[in-house]
Amino acid sequence: MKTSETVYLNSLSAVVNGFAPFTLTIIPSSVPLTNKIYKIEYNFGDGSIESQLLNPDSDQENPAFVAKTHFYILTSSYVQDFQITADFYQFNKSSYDRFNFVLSLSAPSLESLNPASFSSSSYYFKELHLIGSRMFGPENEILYMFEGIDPDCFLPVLVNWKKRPVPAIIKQIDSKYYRPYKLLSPFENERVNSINTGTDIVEVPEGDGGTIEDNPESFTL
Amino acid sequence: MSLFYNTQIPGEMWIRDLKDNVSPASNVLSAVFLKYKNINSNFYSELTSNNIMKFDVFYDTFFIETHTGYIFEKFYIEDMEVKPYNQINLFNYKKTTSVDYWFDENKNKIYYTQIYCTKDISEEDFFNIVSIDETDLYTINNEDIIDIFSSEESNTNYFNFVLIFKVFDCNTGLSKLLLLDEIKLKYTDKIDWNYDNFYIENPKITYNSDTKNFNISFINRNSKYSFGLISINILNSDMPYITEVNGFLPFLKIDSLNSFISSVNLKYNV
Repeated sequence: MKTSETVYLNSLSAVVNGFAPFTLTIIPSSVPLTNKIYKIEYNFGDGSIESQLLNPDSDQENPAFVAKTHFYILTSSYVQDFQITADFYQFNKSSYDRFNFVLSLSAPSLESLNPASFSSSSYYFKELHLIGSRMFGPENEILYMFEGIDPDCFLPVLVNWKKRPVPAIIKQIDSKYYRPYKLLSPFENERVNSINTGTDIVEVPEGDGGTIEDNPESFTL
Repeated sequence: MSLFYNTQIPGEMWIRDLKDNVSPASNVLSAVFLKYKNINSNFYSELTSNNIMKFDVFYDTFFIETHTGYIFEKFYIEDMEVKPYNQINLFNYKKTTSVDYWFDENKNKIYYTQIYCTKDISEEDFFNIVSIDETDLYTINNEDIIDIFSSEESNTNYFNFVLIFKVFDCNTGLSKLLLLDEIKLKYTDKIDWNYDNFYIENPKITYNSDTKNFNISFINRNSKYSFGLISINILNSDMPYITEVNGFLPFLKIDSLNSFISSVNLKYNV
């Protein structure tokens, strides 16, 4: 299952096929142009357009020597074609030279129950069936047991259908914020904060809190 | 050897009887099987010719499934013979999917579920089958059935199915319909998901005693047999109800505001 390809623009086929998610690398070197290039504009066909405007006299910064990588996923269909263009802008030339090709991506299939639609290399199992499930825990997590046929295997999958919030960046709380009592000892450590526990923080006024900061265990209500 | 396909192959069942002889199930359980002779001839024929797909035992209750349908039957022993505990009709026609069950050992009850795809059955057949299933226990409002089979146009952008959720009380030997709910998922954008081309596999039921929730999950494939998964949570209370419907349906955009669950009202005769 091909999920990446490096494309040389000087020896380009009209259509590049692959399976999403797909990493495309375009190498523009050796493109037969008469003048020096000062800009290459890439249109990746998924709404993303990128330009490289660099120093043509430096080999390292010359856009013709810089590979361009783009990552594709399929968001709306099982098969999608992307029309990709690379426009080369040269000194002493008013128009640009265009190189284009089509990237045709397919979503890999879990199963090959419909052999007409998928090639033999595009699926993970010939068949996949749900043979058991167990639900547990306060969040109703479900352990699904699937049976794969060709290759024959059992596939346990743990699913939590609840939408999870995007994890916030955990901030380092200033050391003056301590709860002045032990709530769930010994299940929490001394320097646990509200982000860990979801409980309120009691702010200990500065000046009075010196003892607590030095030794939180010594403070009791 | 496949666990999935093993449950779909009919086979013979042999049982050790009370005199310690090993005999065909049709001999040992003949008094129970005879009860279904006039109820469904196909089912009776499969039982007596030993075309049995699944069999299970829960203390003094057994479960038998054939291609035509299935029964949960409480039995007792009299004169060295296995006899049905009661004479009411406990036969269930097979729906779109096969049945799956969960045995609650504390309450001595078996919870079981099946799925109907409305595309697989006509309104008349559906009404007849559900009515026959519940002849002794319920009267079902005909208008509710008509609502499920609303016009084709309105179903075009819906994936709809009927969830049947029942309980068999092993103490009384009676079955009770807990839910007969239609679930309509409206989609606004879809690739390869057509309203009349959903392929549903047999559901699996499980129970979370921590949250008192049942879960019924099943594989649902689209017109090109691409994989999808539907999960339904049911709160186990005096009046169970669906609390969540979740799904993994690639490239199908669900319009959750216009998706709904409607219950068929059941008028209990007992």
